[in-house]
Amino acid sequence: MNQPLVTIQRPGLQSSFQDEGRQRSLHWGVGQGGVLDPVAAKWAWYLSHQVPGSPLVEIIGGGTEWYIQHTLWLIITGADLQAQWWRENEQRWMDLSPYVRIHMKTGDRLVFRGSRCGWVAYVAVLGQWQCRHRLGSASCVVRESETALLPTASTAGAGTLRPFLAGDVLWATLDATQRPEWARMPIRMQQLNVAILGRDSPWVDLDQAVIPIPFFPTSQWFWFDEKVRQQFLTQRYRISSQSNRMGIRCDGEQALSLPQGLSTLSEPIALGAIQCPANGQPIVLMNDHQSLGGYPKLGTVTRWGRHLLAQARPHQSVRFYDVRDMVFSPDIS
Amino acid sequence: MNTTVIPSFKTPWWQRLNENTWLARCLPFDAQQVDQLLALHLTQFSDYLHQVEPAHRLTQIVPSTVGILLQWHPSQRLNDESMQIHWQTWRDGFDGWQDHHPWQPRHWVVPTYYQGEDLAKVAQRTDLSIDQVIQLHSQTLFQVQTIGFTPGFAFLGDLPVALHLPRRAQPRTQLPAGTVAIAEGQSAIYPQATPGGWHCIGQTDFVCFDWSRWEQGQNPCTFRVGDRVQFVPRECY
Repeated sequence: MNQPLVTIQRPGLQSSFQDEGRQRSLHWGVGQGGVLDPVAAKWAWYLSHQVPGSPLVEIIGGGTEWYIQHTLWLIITGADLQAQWWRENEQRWMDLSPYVRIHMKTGDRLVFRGSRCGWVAYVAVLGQWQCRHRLGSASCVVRESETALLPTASTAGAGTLRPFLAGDVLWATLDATQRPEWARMPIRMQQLNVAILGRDSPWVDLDQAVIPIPFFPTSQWFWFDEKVRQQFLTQRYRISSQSNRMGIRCDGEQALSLPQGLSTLSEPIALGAIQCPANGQPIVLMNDHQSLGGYPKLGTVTRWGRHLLAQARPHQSVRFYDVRDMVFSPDIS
Repeated sequence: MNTTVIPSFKTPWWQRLNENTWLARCLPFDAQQVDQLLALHLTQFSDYLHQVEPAHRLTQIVPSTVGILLQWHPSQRLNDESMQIHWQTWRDGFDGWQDHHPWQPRHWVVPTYYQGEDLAKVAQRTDLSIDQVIQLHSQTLFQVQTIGFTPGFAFLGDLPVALHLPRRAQPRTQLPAGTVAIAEGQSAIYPQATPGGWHCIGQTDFVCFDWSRWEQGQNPCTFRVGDRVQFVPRECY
């Protein structure tokens, strides 16, 4: 039964519905959207027994507060955004680490204070979030959002046609028959599972001072000067705070010089393309990227690289390395 | 990628962009000229792929003026060889398909109010009168070159040389939906309110993109590459 479950009291930096992404849309200029971090989303689908590709609530950066209207099971994966759970019947706060499944009751509250590690978290429900679809997908592409048409808090289209606002209500169909073995585990025990899932979680890489990002050197890579290529491979980049779901902006100490004589005709852009605009500071194009672009590209970030970049906080340092130099690829998912 | 062969629609340069995305490049990296015939071929070829390949396998097919991008679903495991085999199969099927699906460009008439904010400035900078600008713009038969930027945004080619102007130095933070604008050698209609650096010369209520058409099984995007577009001043329409 479709019912209202959660009231959003504060939407935070940005929270919206995302799924696997829109299919067959880019040739119309419609962004594909989809989960920024495919690895964390995969775990959310797995732990909530959902078909991979179902809608999830994506929370970027935290600052989010939810009020629970109805008893439900929630699954949180991805970044550690210092989630805290107000337990109404016990009248106390409880800290949550990601990759837990919690049973929340009416009157409880869920707060994401802000990033401790990572940047993007996913919230799934044991059941299915109910939301509007656009071209067959629930993904919200902010650039195409209709804030003008849905200015006030409402339920129809919230999260899909525009990011969430305070006062929006999340509806879901709960699966009452599902009570997994996991649910009987005490919560501290569940948190042990983080250690097991940690093999696939970004903490190992994200703790480093400089996060290594694997990429394929393709597109116009060989048109760049040998020196510029070396500079790109050795230089550290800081994630700019202007980064968003469209592109992760990387600020390097020295700007890259662009190759001469290249065509300026627009070519289609792949997910994770490293575009080098005129100012010489590369932008990694993420899920909400535009369909065509004329700037030269240094290559494309791999799936694992996109996962790391999505979880890298603003002002964290990254460096790029040629994926062919990688001895062991953790991208087994 | 065998760079000794000049890339063409028949012998594209293959670039594997990431795990599940390939770009078949049909123009060399330093090409400066748009090959309109190639663009039409690629659009028609993408129409064919839309019909023969299910969306859950081949998730994005993006034609452009330089090549065609194919994004597979992550569950599809491919390598360069299997991609080549697919391409050969499609090429064989496409030759027969083309005979039954001839290219039929459509002709769109766009009623336009020529009352844009930059109209006077455009006239001043091109040394024309406002009426001459309107006349030049509305007497041109435009052709859709590419679609991109925002949903349904079509780049309309072959603006008369007399109207060529560089983009605005300061892009506007918000242009209303339906703005008719020009920049460099192109004209366009803004399907939705977005920031833009083009010179707006008019306003139209022509619908370029309608999300709800998709649910009725129709194409939400009005324009297709190769379509002809004519702007008609509202007074005499």
